[in-house]
Amino acid sequence: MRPFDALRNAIRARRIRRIDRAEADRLVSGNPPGPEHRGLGLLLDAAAAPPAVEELAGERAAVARFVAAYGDAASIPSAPRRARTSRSARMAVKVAAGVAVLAVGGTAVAAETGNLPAGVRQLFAALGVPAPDGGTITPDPSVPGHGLTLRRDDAERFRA
Amino acid sequence: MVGDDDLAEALKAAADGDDAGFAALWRALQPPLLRYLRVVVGGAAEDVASETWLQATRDLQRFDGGPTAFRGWLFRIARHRAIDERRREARRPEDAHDSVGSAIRWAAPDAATEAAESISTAWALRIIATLPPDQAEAVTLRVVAGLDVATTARVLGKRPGSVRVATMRGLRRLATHPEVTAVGIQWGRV
Repeated sequence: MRPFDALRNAIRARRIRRIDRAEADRLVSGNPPGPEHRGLGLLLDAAAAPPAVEELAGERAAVARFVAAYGDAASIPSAPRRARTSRSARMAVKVAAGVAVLAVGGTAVAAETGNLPAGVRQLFAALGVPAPDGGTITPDPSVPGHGLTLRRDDAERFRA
Repeated sequence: MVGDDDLAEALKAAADGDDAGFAALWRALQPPLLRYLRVVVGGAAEDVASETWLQATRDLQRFDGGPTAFRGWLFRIARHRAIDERRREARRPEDAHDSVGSAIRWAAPDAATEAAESISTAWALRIIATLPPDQAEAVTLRVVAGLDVATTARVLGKRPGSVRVATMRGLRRLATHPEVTAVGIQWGRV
């Protein structure tokens, strides 16, 4: 019966053994746990796995927002919060863009789909919404104001 | 993971308005940021991550520190934006009855399907999100974001000792989670 007792004790010891602070530190720094915590090791590895493609999918849009937000537009008080990019907000942007396209370039520009004027692209950039053609948004400094630029002092007041 | 030297360079460039520098920062930190936010705000993670980067961009010129400090700073912004998001969520009438929180709701619907699939990052984050909030945050920031105890403590506004205890308790609880033990047994046999 002695081998059985030994086995039972071993199982019991495994069950009882809890993770202490030292073990927690070891696990956090990526050391594999003992066999009794194999599942935990797998979970931690999966949680800290290298980035998946979809996690990096938004890079272009993120950089476009950075470019738009960094300069003068950085201080627009109405930041593209989540609530503002709701469906109705996006619709408002589309409508505004349509109006702007017609106003700026007339029918000739409007017909040239997929190639929005820089001013409209800047509007999208300022609102934090990717341009409909999915292209990179590069604010064009040669284009004078797009109606959203605040004066410096306004900007400073907002930041303060 | 991107080394701190590369990150320091990217940080400096981004602070000067260089989009390539920002892109490097974003590539290095968006994945852990997104994972942290998945645990904390579930389905709103992408939106809150965008808000976080936007605020970081605005304040970048005033940021004065190295890569380690930047990591902590970014996650601190993320945490505040996540708290805002939860408040917004709580105010929405249709969610008023749902006191459990968005993380759990995000986790619940496809729990069975996910478990049946295989071990994935999404699965791991879903399990971590079932922990009590302080433990979930501590484990995620330490393990996924790779923040040290001191930085994690600053992000969470806690003392380092509390962070270590919360991490340990979180790991203990995860170790006994039925899906985690099941996975351990399953993979132990292979």
